[in-house]
Amino acid sequence: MKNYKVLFIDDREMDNLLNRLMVREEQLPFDATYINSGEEALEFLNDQTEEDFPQIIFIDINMPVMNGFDFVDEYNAQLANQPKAINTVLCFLTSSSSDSEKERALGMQNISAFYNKPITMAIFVDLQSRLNNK
Amino acid sequence: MKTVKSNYSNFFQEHFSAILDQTDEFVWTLDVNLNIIDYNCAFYDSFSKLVGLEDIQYTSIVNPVLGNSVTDAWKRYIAETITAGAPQIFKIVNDNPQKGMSEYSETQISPIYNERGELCRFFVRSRDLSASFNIQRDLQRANEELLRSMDLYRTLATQIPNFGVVIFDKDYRYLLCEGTALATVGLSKEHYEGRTMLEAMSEEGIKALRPQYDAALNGEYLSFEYQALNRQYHAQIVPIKDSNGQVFRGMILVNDVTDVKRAEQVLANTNRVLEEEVLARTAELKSTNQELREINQYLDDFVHAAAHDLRSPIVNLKTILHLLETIGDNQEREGLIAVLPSLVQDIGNTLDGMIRMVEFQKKDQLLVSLLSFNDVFSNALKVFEYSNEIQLAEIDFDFSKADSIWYIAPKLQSLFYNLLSNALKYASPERNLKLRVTSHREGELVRLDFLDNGIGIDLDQHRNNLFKPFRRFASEGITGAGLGLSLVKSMVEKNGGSIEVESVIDEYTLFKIRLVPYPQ
Repeated sequence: MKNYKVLFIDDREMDNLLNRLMVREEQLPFDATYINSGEEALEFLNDQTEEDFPQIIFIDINMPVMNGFDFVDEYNAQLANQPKAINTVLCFLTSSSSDSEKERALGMQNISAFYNKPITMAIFVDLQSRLNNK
Repeated sequence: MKTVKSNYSNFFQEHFSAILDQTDEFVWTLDVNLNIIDYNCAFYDSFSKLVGLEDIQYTSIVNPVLGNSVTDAWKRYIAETITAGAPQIFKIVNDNPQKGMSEYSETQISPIYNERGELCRFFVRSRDLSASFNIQRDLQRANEELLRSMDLYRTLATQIPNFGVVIFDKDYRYLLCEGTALATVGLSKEHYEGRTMLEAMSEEGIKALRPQYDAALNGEYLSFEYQALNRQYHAQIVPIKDSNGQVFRGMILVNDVTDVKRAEQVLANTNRVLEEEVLARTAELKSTNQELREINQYLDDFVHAAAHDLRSPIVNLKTILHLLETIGDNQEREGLIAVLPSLVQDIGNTLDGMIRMVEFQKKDQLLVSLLSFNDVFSNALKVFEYSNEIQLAEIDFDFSKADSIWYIAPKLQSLFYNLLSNALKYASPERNLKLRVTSHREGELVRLDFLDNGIGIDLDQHRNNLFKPFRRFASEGITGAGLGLSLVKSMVEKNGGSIEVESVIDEYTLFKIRLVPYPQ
């Protein structure tokens, strides 16, 4: 079975390191890319062909300059309507536990889910059903 | 004379009937038994109505219909006339004018004797004098009233301190001049009472006062205030009218209103002071309320931010502990273990900050007090006592140009805390932090400058977002939720202060914060 193409957007080195280790240790079927900011992520996504475009994007909320919400707004404006993005699932992966943030996050267009760190097999299982529905 | 129903004896008919019917007077004759014999039209009109008879000849003048008082009076008039043996005049006042009798009349009764010298008739003429009587009576009453009121005025004038009353007539004659306040208008009882203005006053006085007296005599009311001998007086010149509404006198009233004015002034002042106090108190309450709300909001924001700051390292800690259970590679395990102290340090710092914040909030919070910048800044530094960054930082401060300010303690503490925290967060990884904090006077305001050599801010890109909550402006190695600057901005702007920023990327950032002192 082919691995999923996955993008993690998180500003902190440590969080990216831990995401990487968790993906490996939980044996998640991901070909993952780790990017440090929303701006870079947008640039990266704009550069991707339909072939390479990630199927899953995990977004941290609390990031400097362009936070997770800003990123999703930009993504919706620039990318969501392109054919290459049609099968992509967006979700937040954050350490935030605030109800108001969760509510705001889930209210956004094209957001499928809101998960708390760290990334686990349980999260992937939950995501799979959403992927199949796409 | 409408109904002519007169009847005269031959004597009268022959001699006088034509004349007698032309007069308004009542003319009639009585026989010795007091029966009416002759009468003219005027008498008939009045009397026949009075007794209710068409034919009044031989009707007794002493008629029970007229009532006892009238018949008794007539018996007396007749007796007096007989005794006198000559015409008598009686002034008759009727207490019962409703019955149709004149209120006041003058009646002449003349005895008439025959050739033998015997009394045979009474010749009677009556004139109705009611109209003129009423006028006279009113005049008399008005005079009495006036005398009474003049007495009253006199009493008032002498009893009330600094009061005066003057009454003058149409000839400007002073009928009454009483009271100690008169001196203030140049009048005295001795000099003026009984004399006219024209006799008693100088030409100048006459010139000044005559128009005012005339105005009163024309029915006008004058009222004015003036000052004399350091006191305040109120004068009125008013017309006095008789019962017909005709002005026939004028009156001057002079009243010392100094004390009333003073009392009014005091009352007005007291009222104003009270009003001011109420306003001030209301404003104070409002601002206290506002402060409370702000501090609550601040605490809310802070708790939210702190919770987030705590949660992030704790989540990482848990993840690492989980990974340590599964990862076998020793090098990786050591790498993970090496990260643990910094996570614990993060948690510790955040908790310290929280504790310090709570302490800030505990003390006499909302009161404005004179705060020394040295004290407050040293206090804020203590929050970072245990952080690694501050050990390496070179922080110097000089508050000599403005050493203190009337401000709200937790606000100033929070300001220093947040700017310190900001400088530490955005220190350049390539060099130790240098932070210089100075104070400057700008008129009423105090400007605080925070100059650091940190990573700087790309103002072209971030100027608009700089002071919004939950913004961070660098991506590497910065913790915290980015609340600080937005809080500082909202705090200083609350009472008219401002915050501005200059920066060059990777060189320096300078915050200029202008504080407006709170009223003491």
